[in-house]
Amino acid sequence: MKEKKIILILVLFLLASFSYLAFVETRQADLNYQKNWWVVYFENPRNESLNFTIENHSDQNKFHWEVLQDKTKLSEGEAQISKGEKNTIPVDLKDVIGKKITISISDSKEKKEIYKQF
Amino acid sequence: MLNFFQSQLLFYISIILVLFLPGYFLLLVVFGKGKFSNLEKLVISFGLSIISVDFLMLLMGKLSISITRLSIFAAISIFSAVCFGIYKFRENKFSKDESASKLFDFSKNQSILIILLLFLTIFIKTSYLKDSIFPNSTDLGHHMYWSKLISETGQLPIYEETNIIQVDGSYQISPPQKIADFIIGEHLIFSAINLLSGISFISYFPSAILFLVDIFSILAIFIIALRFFEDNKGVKLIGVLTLFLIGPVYAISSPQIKFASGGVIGNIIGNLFIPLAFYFYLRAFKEKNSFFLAVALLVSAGLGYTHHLSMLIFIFAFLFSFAIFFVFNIRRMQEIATEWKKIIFSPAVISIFILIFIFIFFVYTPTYLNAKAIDTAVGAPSKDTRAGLTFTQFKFSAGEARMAIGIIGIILLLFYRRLKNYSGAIIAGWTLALFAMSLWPNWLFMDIISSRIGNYSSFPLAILSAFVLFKIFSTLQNETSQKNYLSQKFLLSFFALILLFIFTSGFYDNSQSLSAQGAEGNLRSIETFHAAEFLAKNINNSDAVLKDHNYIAADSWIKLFFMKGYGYPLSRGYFRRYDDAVTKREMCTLWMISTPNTTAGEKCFSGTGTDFVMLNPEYDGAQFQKSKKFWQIYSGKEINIYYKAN
Repeated sequence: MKEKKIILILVLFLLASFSYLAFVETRQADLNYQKNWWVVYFENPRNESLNFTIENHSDQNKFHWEVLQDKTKLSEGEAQISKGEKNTIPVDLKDVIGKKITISISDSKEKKEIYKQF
Repeated sequence: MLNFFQSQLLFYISIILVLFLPGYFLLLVVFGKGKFSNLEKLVISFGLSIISVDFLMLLMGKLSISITRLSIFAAISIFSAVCFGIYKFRENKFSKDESASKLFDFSKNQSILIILLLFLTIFIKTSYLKDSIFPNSTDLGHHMYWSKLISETGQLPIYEETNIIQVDGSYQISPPQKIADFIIGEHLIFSAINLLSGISFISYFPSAILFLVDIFSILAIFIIALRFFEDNKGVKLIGVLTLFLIGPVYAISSPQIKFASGGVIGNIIGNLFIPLAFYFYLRAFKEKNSFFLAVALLVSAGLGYTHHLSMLIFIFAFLFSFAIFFVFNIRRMQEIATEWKKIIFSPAVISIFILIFIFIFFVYTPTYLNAKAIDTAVGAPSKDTRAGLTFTQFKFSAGEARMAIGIIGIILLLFYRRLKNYSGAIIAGWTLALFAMSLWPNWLFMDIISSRIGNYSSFPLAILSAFVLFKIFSTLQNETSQKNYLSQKFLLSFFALILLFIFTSGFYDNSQSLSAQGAEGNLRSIETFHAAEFLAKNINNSDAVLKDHNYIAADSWIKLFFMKGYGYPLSRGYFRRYDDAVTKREMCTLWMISTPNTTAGEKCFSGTGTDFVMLNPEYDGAQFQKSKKFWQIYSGKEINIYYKAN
């Protein structure tokens, strides 16, 4: 009988451990929970479209973006993106052949760039 | 939250279906209900379930039955139902073994101690896993690719990969070539659980399963220790001491929970099957029971289908045990051989031999059973890491206290004339084989990384150490005995010192591992997964991707997002690999990231068709930003993606 109790308690220990680990890992895998990061990428990475997306998983909500041709600013704007959300910003430029178009995005702490060279 | 509970429930049901039911019913049909204690049934059912599910899935693969949720469920259900049906038919023919219930009938204090040790073991391991449960270890990523492939295709995988080769001065991707590093038994149970529960491979589930296997291997050591010393009055104390020495102390070190989170699947499962195989061999020869031998062979075959190194270690341990038994029973060998003959040439054993033969030659041949793979493991040591460990290195592999006390254990076995018993011969042979393989591999003509072998020694050494501690303890208790050669005070002090040694050594090891880790790597892994997911949505069949292994976290998991082959994406490996003096390596993966703008780099891009590169911008961003040929299409903190547009 005591042996059965040992088995039962062992199963309970394992269940508690597994549930705890599953819970911890689910939080660790959550893109937003206690995390502070954001990324930027082109909506279509392989054609001439310059539309880009800012995906925010940080505590910052305000982003400033600029479209640059080499070092010349072509356009700029602000984007308000809550944590866990993303925002696609359309960029409509013509006559880009032979030029390097850079999208520069910054929050109050860091700056990231993506670019295409036509 | 509801989703979390639902997925948890499905996960636990799948564990019961895959890891308990088939083994339980197999045990029932072979032995009935009376041969094992409940704890033995639990542990053995777990091991036999892994083997049963492996063989069922191999058979399904051979019969071209698609491996799906329904077919797995049906296969396990039919197998269990057939076993139960046969058991019911033969129910009256099974004999009962009273020794099992007596051997496992623990006193209240012993039960409390066992529960406490199990709690401590699980608690320490859980504490370590909480920061390493997130799927980011390299080995686990590689293994889970194959498990996911089985789940996605419904077929057994063909273990092959593509490489970069040079043909007529230009580089290209080779046709798929066979790889012997992976063994089917390492992947099938993960596919089965994924299919039944729907749980993602990129989650806690693979490490959790390995954690479970680790706990059951500890229990397997516990039950075999009890069986080894069942004729000893203090058997239960030896069992409890074994549990102490293999459970909470050195709970994190390799090959235990570190291997579980690291995804060293073969070792972890091997450490369950080796004691289980010895358990059945011991009972087969001790009780002269051919059914035990049949199951021992089945477990050995299961080991062979799971891990080559564990299988090799088991073969050596078996041979050493046999040699010791032979030497210490040389005068009775003729009589013993007659007993063995009866057990071996029995319908049960012959049937299992035929079954194993059919599986190996007609159903599925383990990938490592080919000349090339065997050649790499046999011969004079080819590298320093294979030339054997020093004693100092060995003590770190085995656990310092366990090794020191375990060596005394072998001497005690000799002193108490236990080596002529099956139990003594097995435990001594198991330990000495590991000593020889780890410390002097050239004696055995072996060419395998010595530290990996050393890790296996902790299990038999724990049993031997428990035996030593028990002997000291029993000498202390028996104050009136005439056999005490040393004073009680001296023995008491010695016993206290040994316990202190074990506590400090074992728990210091745990604390070192716990303090050394942190969860900060998880965010880096999340960024990798995010980038991989982005790329997976944007590539087509003509694209080739290259990623870096040096500075990207969890990069081996990237292939699970693409599922376009084991060698996809291409990978820049550790830098030292490209300087290998023995094996000439391809250089393209190095050049394409380190020097993409050189002629050699460009030639590699063109030959391999690589057009996407994933790398850490802090280390490798500059050379791509200088080039006019690459677009920076994804920018994160730890990972950037470049597209070769021109």
